[in-house]
Amino acid sequence: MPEYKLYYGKGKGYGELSRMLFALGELEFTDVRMEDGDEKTKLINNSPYGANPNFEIDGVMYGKNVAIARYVAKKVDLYGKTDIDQLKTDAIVDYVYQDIAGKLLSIYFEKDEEKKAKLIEEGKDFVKNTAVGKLEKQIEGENTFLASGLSWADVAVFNFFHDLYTPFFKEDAFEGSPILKKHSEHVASLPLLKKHLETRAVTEF
Amino acid sequence: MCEPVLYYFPFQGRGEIIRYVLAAGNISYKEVNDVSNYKEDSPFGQLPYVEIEGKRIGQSNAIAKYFAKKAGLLGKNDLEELEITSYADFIVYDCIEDSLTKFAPIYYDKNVTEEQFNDIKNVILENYATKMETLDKVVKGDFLLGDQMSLADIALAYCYSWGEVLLPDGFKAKLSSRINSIAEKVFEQKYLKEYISKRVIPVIPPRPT
Repeated sequence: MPEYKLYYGKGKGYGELSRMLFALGELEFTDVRMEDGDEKTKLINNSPYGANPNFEIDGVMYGKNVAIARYVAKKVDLYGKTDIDQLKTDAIVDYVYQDIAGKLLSIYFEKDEEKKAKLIEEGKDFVKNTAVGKLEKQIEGENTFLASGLSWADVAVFNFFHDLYTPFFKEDAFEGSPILKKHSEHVASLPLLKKHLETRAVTEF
Repeated sequence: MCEPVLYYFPFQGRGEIIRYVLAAGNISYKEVNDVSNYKEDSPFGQLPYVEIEGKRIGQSNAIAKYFAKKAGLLGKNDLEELEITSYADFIVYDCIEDSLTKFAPIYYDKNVTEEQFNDIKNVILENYATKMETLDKVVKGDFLLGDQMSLADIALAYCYSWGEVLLPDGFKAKLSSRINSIAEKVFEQKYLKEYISKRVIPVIPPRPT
């Protein structure tokens, strides 16, 4: 069995999707959570991507959170079984982690308080009035995006909104969406994920 | 089996990475440019999207990856695919999309003067070129990740489409000869070269006046 090591900061952030997938597959890995400091900075600077997470498989380093999570999803059999289903999950995960998260990240780094307040309102409006509705329509199974069952897309949507959106915007994006609320509750109730949520380190983001 | 259908504006834009992969893989498809209702019709209210086997799917990067697999551009195993897709993601999101997010608002704002526009543009694109330059350290063979062309190389070529329009005076000069030669090899690929020779659509619409 290959040796897996995930390198990230202390928080959940962009490392958590992979951590959840490892938990759901009961697949062992070393969860390296680095304090801010020289070692972390050195790793990031040496990474061609200039960022964490970084992922080591039998001594070889790989990067980019979505690509890593997709690899783990494949190993724990949560990628989908057909090319089309896999594409569908890729589209959902990219929409959440690149489009929606990308907007959020730029808000997080905005230094002008007035501009930041405006961006926050725009962000919330976009999520609640556009993104949520579009994601709802993607659900084809019984509380899963794929008709064939659970996939990493379900975990990704749960992870992003539960661990990043809600703590940051301090409100529930799914308040007006019974469908996505039920979806979230379903994902959170999966025994292996429930156990992970109960035992994982508590961090702000 | 009916052909896939690509829905996008009559511009290269974000559709072009998909068109490059389809071309490189000699995959036939139909294209629809009358997309006036896209906010309703598209899965995420965005363009491009495709219709494959009756299903509508969005997100250009995901779509490019789907066709890249069909075209044999994702390597021979999961580890190669991980490496290839990680660099494709880096190029598409960290280099291009990051720049476009900053570039688009000023490009489409006619109240920004040509001079202001050029100043801001150069700052954004310096960043773009610096990130692209980190790829020079990654080069492993004739192409970015070895001696076979992959989706990562297509993404690199796609970068050039944007770079040449956004920084016409000196984009290539900012990059290493190694990176430039990889892009050239991609553009020389038999089917891609043929596609480009017949292409008439510009990269983006003209600036509003």
